[in-house]
Amino acid sequence: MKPHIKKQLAKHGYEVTGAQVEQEGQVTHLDATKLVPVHVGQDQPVYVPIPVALKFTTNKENEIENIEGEPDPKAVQAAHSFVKTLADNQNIDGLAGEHYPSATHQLEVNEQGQPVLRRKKFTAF
Amino acid sequence: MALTKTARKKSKTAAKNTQQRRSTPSKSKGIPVKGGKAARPGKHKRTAVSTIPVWEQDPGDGNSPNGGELTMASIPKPGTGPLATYISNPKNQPEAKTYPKGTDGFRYWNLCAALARGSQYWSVLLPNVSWEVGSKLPVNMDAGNDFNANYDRTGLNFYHGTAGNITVYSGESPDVINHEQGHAVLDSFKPQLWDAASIEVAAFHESFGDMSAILCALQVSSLRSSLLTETGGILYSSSKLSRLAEQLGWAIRQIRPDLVDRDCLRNAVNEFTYSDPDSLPTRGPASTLTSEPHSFSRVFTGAFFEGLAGMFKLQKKQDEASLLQVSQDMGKILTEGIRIASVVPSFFSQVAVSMIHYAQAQFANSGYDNALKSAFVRHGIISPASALSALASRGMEFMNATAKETATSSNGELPKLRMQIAEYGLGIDNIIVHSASEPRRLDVAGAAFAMGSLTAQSADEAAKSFFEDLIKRGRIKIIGAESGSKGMFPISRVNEPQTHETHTHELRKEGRDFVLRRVRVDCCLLC
Repeated sequence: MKPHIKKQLAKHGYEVTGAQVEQEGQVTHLDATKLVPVHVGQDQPVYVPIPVALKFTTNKENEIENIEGEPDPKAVQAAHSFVKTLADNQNIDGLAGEHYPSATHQLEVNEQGQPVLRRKKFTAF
Repeated sequence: MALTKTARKKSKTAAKNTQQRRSTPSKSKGIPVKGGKAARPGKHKRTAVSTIPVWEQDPGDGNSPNGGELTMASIPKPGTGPLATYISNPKNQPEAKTYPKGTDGFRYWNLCAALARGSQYWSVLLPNVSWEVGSKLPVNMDAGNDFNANYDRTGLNFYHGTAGNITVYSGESPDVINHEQGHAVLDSFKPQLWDAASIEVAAFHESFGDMSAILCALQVSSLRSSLLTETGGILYSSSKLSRLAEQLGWAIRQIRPDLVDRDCLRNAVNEFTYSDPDSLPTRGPASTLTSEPHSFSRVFTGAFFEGLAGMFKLQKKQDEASLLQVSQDMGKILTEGIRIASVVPSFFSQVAVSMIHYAQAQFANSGYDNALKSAFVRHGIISPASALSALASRGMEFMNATAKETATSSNGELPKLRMQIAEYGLGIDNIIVHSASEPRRLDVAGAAFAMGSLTAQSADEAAKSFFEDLIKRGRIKIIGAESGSKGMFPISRVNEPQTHETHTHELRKEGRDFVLRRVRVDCCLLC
């Protein structure tokens, strides 16, 4: 996947996750995640990556057109519940500026300045 | 006087032998171990140590931080073999020999042995799989002060903490070691679960850690033997196997008794049943089910353990060799079920149905599929209807209930309702039940979790719900059905008494209809 295509996808809120890219002429199919904003009582939302099957076309200038790839509404709902559970259990390091060293997740700011939820670890308790 | 050439040669040989004896570890003299022999004092031929004492599954026992059983294990070779692990901290490997309990040397080799046990078990089930981090998994024996342990995609990390006057090392418990190793194992063959924003997926990962601890513990021969004695062969009983991480649980209990079980960190024998995690509180005491992944994991772990017990009950010989075989069969069913399962929010049911499918196909005529179905249905992970049709979706599918309500009859019976039950595959399309449908006097309802009230059920919904609950709990017996009817699906209870019947209801043929009748009130809380 060419870097400038990845950058364009990132501006649309997509992260490329799959190694396999299928090409049908100008149409590209690949696995990606869409960053979905989830509010947890803060001014700025937390962005949660949710898997999607992405499809887009590119024009002669290699600019992306006609992106299709919206996450399953059930997965979006699950993400909201998941983030709330994490937040209530102090498991998001960096949320609202608070440092929780034992947290299972953390916020990483991407190139678009969005705080993206990433897992740090699994714990025994 | 100068030595002769022969004497010098003899002297050199004696010195060499002495040097070899000093560098070769001798057998332990003093540590009493189960299944091992202490070396006798006096003259004996020194031989290289090939086994060391290690914890069977945990240093603790029940509500005590001590009392765990020791067993003998082969000296492991860190950094070698499939799914290899190595100790990154401490960097220097202590000499491979027996150390007294409570020493760093003992903890080091106990950790290596537990890791080797897990690697040996999982690598057989997952050939050609390597760690997500690379060819060898680094393990930090003591990363600092905490009552916890973790896997963070760079390695495994264990900690220590002091409770009362006892320092507890999480890396000393094989239960905790194999739990964290289980996270790494699952990550190695289903890495897409790592970042999934789903309570159920996160909870499944935790359940897999506990399942890994249980299955690895079952590879220890002495544990299998003593377990059968402890439980009388009834595996679905609270035992040292089902009680996970007793010592760590004790330590946490000294500070926050409400956060863990009364005698362990978590118990695989539990009565938790599935609820939509959206409907659960996000946090709460260990006595309640919450959407916090460790708490919610207990639903799947409970079903898994009950399924394991059901599979063992099917064995012709109820001995430790059969228990070992069942543990290996279950590992295969579990890993293949996970591989096939789609990563969706309702992940529990996806894995459950995939496991049943795999058991049907690969262990045909073993009865394993029915044992698993029963366990998953009893814990609410799949509905009876979906268990029968092996559908992927979870949740009850209401059939249209044709209500033929009649006024209360002169003999005081409740109104009768005709209820469609074809979806349960009992070979019966509809039955007659006595519905709770007298006129409502008070407009009250139970509280919903988030806010407001629950919507009260209609009489036919309540009857259907009650009937399905009876099926899930294995409390219905069918009398008078045609012999050879297909689709009969008894949900068996693994701890069902063999000496007397305990079903509470019967479906009896009365005239042309099957009627649901209560036959007894049974207070068997252990069934």
